[in-house]
Amino acid sequence: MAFINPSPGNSNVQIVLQINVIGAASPSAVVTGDPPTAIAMGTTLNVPALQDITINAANDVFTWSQLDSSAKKQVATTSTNSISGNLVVDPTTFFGTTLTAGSTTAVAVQGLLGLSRNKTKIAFALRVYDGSSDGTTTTTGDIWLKGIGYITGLAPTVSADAPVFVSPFTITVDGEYLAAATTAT
Amino acid sequence: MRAVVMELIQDTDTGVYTLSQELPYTADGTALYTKNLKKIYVNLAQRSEEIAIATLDASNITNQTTRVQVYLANEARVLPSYDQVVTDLIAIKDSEEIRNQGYYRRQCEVSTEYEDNILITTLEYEFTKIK
Repeated sequence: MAFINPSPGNSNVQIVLQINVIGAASPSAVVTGDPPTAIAMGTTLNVPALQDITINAANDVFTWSQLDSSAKKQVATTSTNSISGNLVVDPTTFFGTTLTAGSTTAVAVQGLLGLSRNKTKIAFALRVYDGSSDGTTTTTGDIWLKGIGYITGLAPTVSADAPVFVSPFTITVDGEYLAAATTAT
Repeated sequence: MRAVVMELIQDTDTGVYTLSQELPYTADGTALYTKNLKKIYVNLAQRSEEIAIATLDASNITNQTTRVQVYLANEARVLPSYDQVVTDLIAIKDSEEIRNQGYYRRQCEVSTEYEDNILITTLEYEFTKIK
């Protein structure tokens, strides 16, 4: 039995969410296969100051009744996948380096808001587990959850009591997740 | 922060109360402000930091709170312009100079106690900003 302790602040172990555009601007992510069998992330935008993150992988269920059964019958069908969470808004990564950037520009230029506004298809990689036992390496036994999708659900908010902009976000996943040990493939 | 508060007190009409440059230390078992009545003493600022928003990386958002205590004492039998002076001292917390430093929470708590026939008034300013 093991558990996952992301150790916030330890860059070798903490949760990392990387995103990149696909095929639009160099160096973009390269996706192989449909459904993806490999995703090379390229030069990514690391999403900073995540407050929490949720991996959603909810299967839909088809339910029916039979005359010879006293209980309903069910079968799992397709799943709706998404990554959701909340973050503290960092102006550079949220708004991008160019406020009016188009969908063919690099991920850092568009920022999260630009990716959402432009409906830019992205690749993402979420490190959910660092395999090293002492938190000193980022390469051994890592588990990266990858996929492709879109940034949605941005809703930056601020209040007088908490005068820092925070925003929910969702990466609506197009298709399956892909688990890998590295962001390179 | 002590210097800022002292400057603001200096700019306030404190009537018969005058501002001391000394710290409110204790000499021979007696606090200076009970020896020197109608003098306003400002203590050194105390600072604390606590996490306002925890994040999954190292970029925690921190609240920095600064507390400054101000003391003044006078004979309890007669309180010359006391209410107005205390009201004006409380108002310092919302002065432009404090607001411009990014403090989004500005509070002042006033408490009093008696030592024989002396009324000791303590104002504790508490300023909080995001670091």
